[in-house]
Amino acid sequence: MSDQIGKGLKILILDDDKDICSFSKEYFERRGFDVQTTLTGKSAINLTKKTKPDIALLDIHLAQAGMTGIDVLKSIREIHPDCYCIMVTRDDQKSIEAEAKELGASDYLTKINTAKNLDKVISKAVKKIRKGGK
Amino acid sequence: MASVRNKFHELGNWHNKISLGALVTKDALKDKDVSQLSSEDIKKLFEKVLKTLGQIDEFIIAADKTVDDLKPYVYENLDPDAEIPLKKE
Repeated sequence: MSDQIGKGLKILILDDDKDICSFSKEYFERRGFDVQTTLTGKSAINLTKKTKPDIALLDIHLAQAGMTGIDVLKSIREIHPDCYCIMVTRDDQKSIEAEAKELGASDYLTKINTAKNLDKVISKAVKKIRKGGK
Repeated sequence: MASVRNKFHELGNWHNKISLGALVTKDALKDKDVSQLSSEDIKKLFEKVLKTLGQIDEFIIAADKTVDDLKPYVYENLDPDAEIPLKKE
């Protein structure tokens, strides 16, 4: 993977774990992305309105009551339909994955294999964005 | 105690953090030509890597604790050697 694959692209990361946010920020910045991280769904929606990210990496299972990554996906689809939304799921959430797909998620990342698959999923996203698709 | 589902979720989160921590540590060291770095930069690199390794160590301990929390659920319901459900009296 090119070291600066994300140059000129904005990515928003939603995860309710600050360590995951911190590691993800480091990972994406090293690859040239302009990174924003947030711990809450509400803030993810506000940041999407404000900054219009090219990619959003959304954790489906959020500790915050009343809002899931799926809710955030729905809002992003309305506010910024061109955003490439990658849902971060768990192995046992097949029904949620199906729902996310119906709502227009662009891709998935299984939590248990995040590190292994991250380069692959991000390369695919960047290729599609540079070609003009979501 | 949290539900089994939550405990497995928690375990997945620790695993994810360990995995990402290892990934960024590898990134930090990858393609680094130490002979080209100033002593200050080498010091910063060491501090950074040591900090992340320390975090990974904490996550592993936390993951072990979660596995310990899950053990009773398994051992009270499943014969761990025969891998069949235990008969309830």
